[in-house]
This record gives sequence, C-alpha cells and structure tokens, in this order.
Amino acid sequence: MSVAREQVLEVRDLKVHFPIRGSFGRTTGIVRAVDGVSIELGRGETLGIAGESGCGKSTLARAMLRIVEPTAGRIVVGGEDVTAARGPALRHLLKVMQMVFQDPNDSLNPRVKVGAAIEEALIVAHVAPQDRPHRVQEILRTVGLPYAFARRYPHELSGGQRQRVGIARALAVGPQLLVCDEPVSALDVSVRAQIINLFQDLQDQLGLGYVFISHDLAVLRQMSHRVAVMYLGRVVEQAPNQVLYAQPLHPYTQALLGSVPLPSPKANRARQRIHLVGEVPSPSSPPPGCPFHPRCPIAQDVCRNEVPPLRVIASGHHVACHFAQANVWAGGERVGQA
Amino acid sequence: MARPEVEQAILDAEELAAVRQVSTWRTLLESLLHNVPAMLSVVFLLILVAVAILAPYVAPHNPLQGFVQGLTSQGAPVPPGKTFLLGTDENGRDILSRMIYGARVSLTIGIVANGIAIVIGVMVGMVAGYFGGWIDTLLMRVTDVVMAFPILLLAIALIAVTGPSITNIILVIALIYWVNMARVVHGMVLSLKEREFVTATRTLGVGPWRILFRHILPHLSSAIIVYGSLGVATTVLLEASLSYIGIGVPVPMPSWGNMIAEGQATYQVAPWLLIYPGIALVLTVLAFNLIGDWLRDALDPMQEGK
Amino acid sequence: MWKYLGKRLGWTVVVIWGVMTLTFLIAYAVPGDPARLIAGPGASAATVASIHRQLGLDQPIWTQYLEYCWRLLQGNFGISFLRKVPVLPAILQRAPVTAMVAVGGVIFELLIGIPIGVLAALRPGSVWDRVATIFALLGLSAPSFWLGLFLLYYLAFVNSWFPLGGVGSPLIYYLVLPCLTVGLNGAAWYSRMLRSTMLDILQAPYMQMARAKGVPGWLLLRRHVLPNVIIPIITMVGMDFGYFLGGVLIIEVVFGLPGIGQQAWQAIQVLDIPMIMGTVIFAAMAIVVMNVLVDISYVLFDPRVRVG
Repeated sequence: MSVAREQVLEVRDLKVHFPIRGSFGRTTGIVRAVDGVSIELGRGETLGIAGESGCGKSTLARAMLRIVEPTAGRIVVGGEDVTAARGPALRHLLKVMQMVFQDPNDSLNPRVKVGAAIEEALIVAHVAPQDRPHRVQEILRTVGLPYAFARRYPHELSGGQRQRVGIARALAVGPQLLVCDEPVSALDVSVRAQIINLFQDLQDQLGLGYVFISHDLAVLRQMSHRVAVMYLGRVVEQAPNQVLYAQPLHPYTQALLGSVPLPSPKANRARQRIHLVGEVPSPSSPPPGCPFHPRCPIAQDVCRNEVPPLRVIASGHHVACHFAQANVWAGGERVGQA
Repeated sequence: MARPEVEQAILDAEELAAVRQVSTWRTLLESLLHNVPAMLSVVFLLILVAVAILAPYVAPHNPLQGFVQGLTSQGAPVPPGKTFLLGTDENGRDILSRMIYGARVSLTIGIVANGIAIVIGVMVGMVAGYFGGWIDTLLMRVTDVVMAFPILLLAIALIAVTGPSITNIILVIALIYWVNMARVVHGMVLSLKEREFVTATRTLGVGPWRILFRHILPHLSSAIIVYGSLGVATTVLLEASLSYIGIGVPVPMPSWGNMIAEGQATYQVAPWLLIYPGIALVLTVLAFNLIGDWLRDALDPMQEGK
Repeated sequence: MWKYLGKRLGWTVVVIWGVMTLTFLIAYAVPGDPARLIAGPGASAATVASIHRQLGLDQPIWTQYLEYCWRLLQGNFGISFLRKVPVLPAILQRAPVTAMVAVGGVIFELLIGIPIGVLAALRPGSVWDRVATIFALLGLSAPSFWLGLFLLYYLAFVNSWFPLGGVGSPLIYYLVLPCLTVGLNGAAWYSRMLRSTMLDILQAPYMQMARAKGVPGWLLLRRHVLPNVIIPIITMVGMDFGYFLGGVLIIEVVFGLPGIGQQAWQAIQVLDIPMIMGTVIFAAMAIVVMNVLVDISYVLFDPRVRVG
C-alpha cells in the first residue's frame, strides 16, 4: 500500500510477558504472550491481524491501549511515544486510539443505560454538558441507532445493537484509530455482515484507521488493506491483502487459508491443504528455533535450531520462514503436501 | 445517514430482541407476595417503625413514671390487666409504654449503627478491592484481627472504656460491624473489577472514582441491602445483650435488653417482665432475618460478583 | 502439608500481634486517663497518680506499647482493681467452669443441630424441613439470655426439674440448662449449614451417577456425604468452642455460674478495666488457638490439604 501515508500508529518490537506465579508469589515461569511484534498503521487504513486463539492477538490489542503493561518495545501514537504514558499523556493516547471489545454483553455495564454510557465518553472528551444530548443523538445516528435507544439498558437490545453501542461509545471520544478485538465473533452470523458494513461506512465517513483482530480470515479479507498473521506471540507473515490471500508464503498462513472453505465444493476438493497436526505449544515454553516447526510440514534441521527473522520478500511482504524465498521460487505454489 | 438496510436491520432486531422492561421493583413486590413470612415481616416492621416514631402518641402511659396503682399492696408488679395492658414492673411503670419507647431505642441503634457500618464497610471494601496493594493487605489483616475477637466481648471492652451511652453503643457497633461489610464488598469488587465492562470503561479514560461509584457500586446494591437487613438483626441482638449486661442503654431509659435485665430479679412472681420484651425482641430480629433471607433469594446478590 | 501448617502458624502469630495491638489501642489510646479508669470512679488523686507512674504512662507511647506487649507475652495481664489479684491466674482459676459449659454447649448443638439438619436435607420441602427451618430461624433470632431465662422459668421454677442456677453437686445437674441454652442457639446454625451443604452434595452430578448405579443409600451417605460434611462441622465446632470460652459470658450471668464470664461481668459493674481487658485477650487467644487446632484437623480429614 501507499508508503507516504501519515503514520497514526507505530508499534516496535512490542513484548508482553506475564510471570507465572507459584506458591508464595514466586515466579516459576514466563508466558510470552506477545514476543516482539512490530506493526504500523496509516490514517484511514485497516490492518487485519489473524491467528488462532491464544496466539497473542488480544494481548497485543490490550497492550497497545495499555490495558496490560508492555514488557518491552515502543508504542508511538500520532508521533508521541506512549509506551509508558501516565496521567494526561495516557488520556491523550486514549483519545486518539479507542477499542471495540469482543463481546458487547460483557463490555457494556448492564446497569448503565446506553445514553449514559455514551455520555460518559463525552465527559471524558470534555464535551460541554449542554452539547452532550445533541452529540449522543448524533453518535447514535452515526452507528445506525435511533435516539430512543439512549434510554434503554443493554439487555433491552439485540446483540448487534449492543455492538453498535460499543462502537458508538468508542467513537464518542473522537478517535482516529479503533482497535477492534474480534468485534463480530460474538455476534450471530446474520448480524456480522451488518456490523462489518458499519465499520466500512465509518471508515469512509470519518477516515478511521482500524487494527482489526479476527480469527476469521474471510472477515479480514473483506475488511483489511494489509494483514498480519500471528503465531505464538510473533508476526510470522505480513502482506497487503491481495498478496497474502493470493500468494501466502509462510506454511502457517497457507494452513490457515486452507482451512477457509472455498465457495465451490469442487475448488475445495481440488486444492491441496496443509493439515495442522498437534496442538499449539504453550507460550510459556515455546519450542526452540522457529516456533512453528513442531507442526510445520516442511520443517528442516535449521528450523529446529534457528529462529527465522521477519524478512522482506517483496515490497510490503514480510515473512518469518527460512524457506520463504524458496516458496517464492516455487511460484507461490502451496507447498507441503505430506 | 444510516442506510436503508441498516434501518431494516434495526427494526428486525428490535422484534427479535425480547425486550423485557420489567422494573426491578415490580419483580421484588411480586416475589414478596409469594413469600408469606417475609410479607408478614415487612408488615410487622412497618407497624413497629410507625409505633416507634409515634411513641408519644401511641404509648398509653409515661414510660418513666412509676404509678402508685402500678404496684400491689405488697409492692409487687401488677399483672397484665385493663389499666396496664401488659402489666407493670417492680417500679410500677407500664411495660407496654416502656416497650414502645424501647422499640424506638432498639430500632434507632440497629439502623443507625448499621448505616454507619455499611458506609464505612462499603467505602473501605471498594477502595481496597479496586486499588489493591498495601491498602488491601492492611484491610484484610485488620479484619482478620477484629474477627478473632468474640464480638460481644470486644464491644464490652470498648464500651467499658468509653462509657455507656447511646452514641457510644452506636459507634462501637458500627466500628465492629463494618468489617463484615468490608469483607463482602471487597470480595465482590475483586471479581467485578476484572469484568470486561470495567476494563472497557477504564479504556475510555474514565477515572477510578467514577468507575467505583458509577459502575461498581450499583452492582453492590443487592448485597448491601441483604447484608444490611441481616446486619440490623444481629445489631438489635447485640444491643439487647449489652443492655442486659448493664453497659448498653443507660437506665432508666427503656430498652428491651435492660427491661429483661431488670425483670430478672422478679421473674418468678412476674414472668410478664421477661416474656413481653423478649417476644418483641425475638419477633423483630426474626422479621429482619426473614426479610434478609427473602431479599437474598429475590436479589441473588452473589450472582453479581460472578 | 508442612508448608500449609507453617503458613497457618505464621498467620496466627500475626493475628496474636494484632490482638495485642488492638487491645492496647482500646485501653490506652482512648480519650481520658487510663489510670483514672483503672483506679475506678472512687479513687483518690494520689491513687490515680501512683497508678499513672506504675503503668509507665509518663513514658512515650511507643515504649508503653512495647512494654505492654512484653508483659502480655510473659503472661502478665495486670492486677485486678476489684480483687487485687493478678488477672491471668484469676481467669485460669475460673476457666474450668466456662470450659465445661463450652464443651456441653458444643455437645448439645451437635446432638440437636445435626439430626434436624440431616432430616431437613433428606426430605426437602417436607413438614420436617419446614419445622427445621422455623426452628433454625427462631434459634437465630432468640437472644441467648432470654432463652436461658425462659428455660429457667419453665424447667426450673414452674416444673423444678432443674436447679435455679448457681453450682452444686452433682455439677452436671447444674450445667444441663446452661449448656442446653448455648446448644439451642448454636444448633440453629448447624441445622441451617448442614441442610444447605447436604443439599448441595446430594444434588451433585457424582451423587446422581452413584444413585443411578444403584449404590445403596447408607453407603452413599457414608462414602460421599459424610466426608464432605465433616469438614464444615469441624470448622464450626472449633470456632464455637473458642468463641464459647469467652462468649458464654451472658449465659454464666443468667445462671449464676462462677466462670470467667461472670467474673468479667462483675468487673464490668465496677469498671475493673484490667480484668475486662484480660478476659477479652484470653477469649481472643482461645479463638486463635482453636483455629490452629481446626487447621491441624484439616490435615487429618481433608485429603486436598494433606497432599497440597
């Protein structure tokens, strides 16, 4: 994608490690939930983040918004380093970047009415009291809800409506960037498309940037400009949307794409699929070398010993695999038939 | 601004979403109608509160005045009869009037002491549970120590040192009972603060105090109501015990506890001195317990923490 | 297991220190002159002054606190103002009567509370259950002193089956009513607790499984219910016993029993502060010690603790 775009978000080598506490509070191990992730995002751009559950995508989102403290690395938002921001600096961060949570049943307080929830965000954003009702109405309209809903409690709404409220609340502080953590996975399939459309409309209208986290590659394909694939706390492949779906170079990405059903049964049968065997290793004891090697169909000795760096294969296409180049030479054919 | 398909989606969803707008109060009232003991308790307590407030108009006699006709020719208490409905005590004072004024004292102490205990307990429990750290450790240690004492003895020690008066009784009881409330609230806040809506609100940039009072406190209300009403029951009992021992409500001011203590000397000839104040005490405590049990079932406060 | 016990014992030390600190604060840090309180209302100025010096009240509060703790650890609880004797020996001398009432109270609460709770749990919703519920609620709501006087009036005065209080020979004859009073209050708690614990167990999936397999009822009770119920009962007995050691004060007053409760009550009447505080500390210590014993019994009865 365009390189000259204004950067809104830059994350450099971010690490989030959680200590495992045994008896008497001793540290008995470390979970490397996020282990050196670098991403960046321009204004009005959508970066999709894909990966299985437990790969650290949610922790990454939470670390960017400082819900969990990063262990190492740097987070720059709007040119300002907010890695260790406190007080006013942190509030500034939260005004530029907001979060849409996975399950609106959990993330909306059941005892607070919709209008009050949005108004609370307006108070934080220093909107004058006399302007608030008008703003609440405007924001509700933006997310496609009638003003009458302001007087309702979350349990009086449907799942999709609740997620609209979740989005409205995040929008109320006037962010340039939304971090969306699986925002549609808790919704009924029939409602998903509507919410995805809403996200796209909002991007068109407000020029919002999204970090869009999902395990659903079909959703990401529709939403994203670029996609990063995470495995065990690291980005293993990052590429512009069309490139990633057309020519995935990391065996893990290939396996993930192989598990997405294709529209026609014929095509489904025809393609060669990589079947992932085994379990995702625990992030508290990642395997040596390439973290994917125990499940990788093309793993060699070098994979068991050396961690593959994230290398630039083509413009904007980064892959962390010792054999990425070989995959390109193979013409982008999916490799690894058993 | 919203596109037609979005509008349509809203309308569909609106039909689908089972919109229940039943108010909490109505649900509570309905469950009360199905719970006869609790309903009788509510009625009983309402009457008791009314009688206590209107004591000067309701009481047939002056509770402090010893009547000449209130003693038999041998100087013994008069049994229940026309003039003195529930009889008199060894000073010729009217038992019923003393009980009515006693209700005033018992209820005032029970409710005020509990109110203070709840305010302290909720504040301390919320702050300790939400902020954690050394303040949390300190609180848990203090509650452990206070709980190591037998409540009655601790109250006795405190009142023995500060001197018996209604104010002191209230303060001492509040000072002991806030611990229970703080424990309950602390536990609930520990789990509530991990809930996603608290995280989401914090991520908006909302400050900790606003989160505590606007978002967490409403979830504590059920527990506060339940433990409050059970707490009044124990407080009324504690006050009666203190008064019985002689360091509660100072005589001659009547309290159910000190009436029983005074009646103890002559109960063999005048058992009504024990029976009626005792019944009033048991019924009042029973009523608060029954209401507490009913509220516990109806509001299910522990559900909130999970 | 040793780790667990070590942790609990360390914890006990902290609580004991807290008890000492709290009693110090009550006795010394309250407004007014503790010397005057200890000397009693009728004391002369000279007496007050001498007690003032004796207590080291002219010293800084920090020194006073350390000396207070040190004295307590040596078993020196002070001198009773009323009886002019050391407090701790006086308490220990009275303790056997109180301990007997406490033991009797625990026996009665188990004898009354367990059958009622079990019957209620085995037939939930039945007449038995209703009766048990009413019994429990009345037991929770009736003040012990009133219950005691009530029993005294009907069983000792009207029917003269039992003595009208005090002590005599045989002692057990004089202890039945006090113990029954303590037991009736306590039994209410036991029946309530047992009923809910047992209902939980009886409705657990593994019980339904066992029943479906055709395991006979008595075996179910012995294998599944009893081991699960015994832990909360031990906890409650331990705590009750500790509590009764200091908490039967009112019962001793009602029945005129010469235990530490009655002694404390006499002390209250004349504001004999050392005796009152001594009794409070003694009772708190009794509770702490009983808690330790309960912890040890967990090791014996709860496999989870034994392994952990």
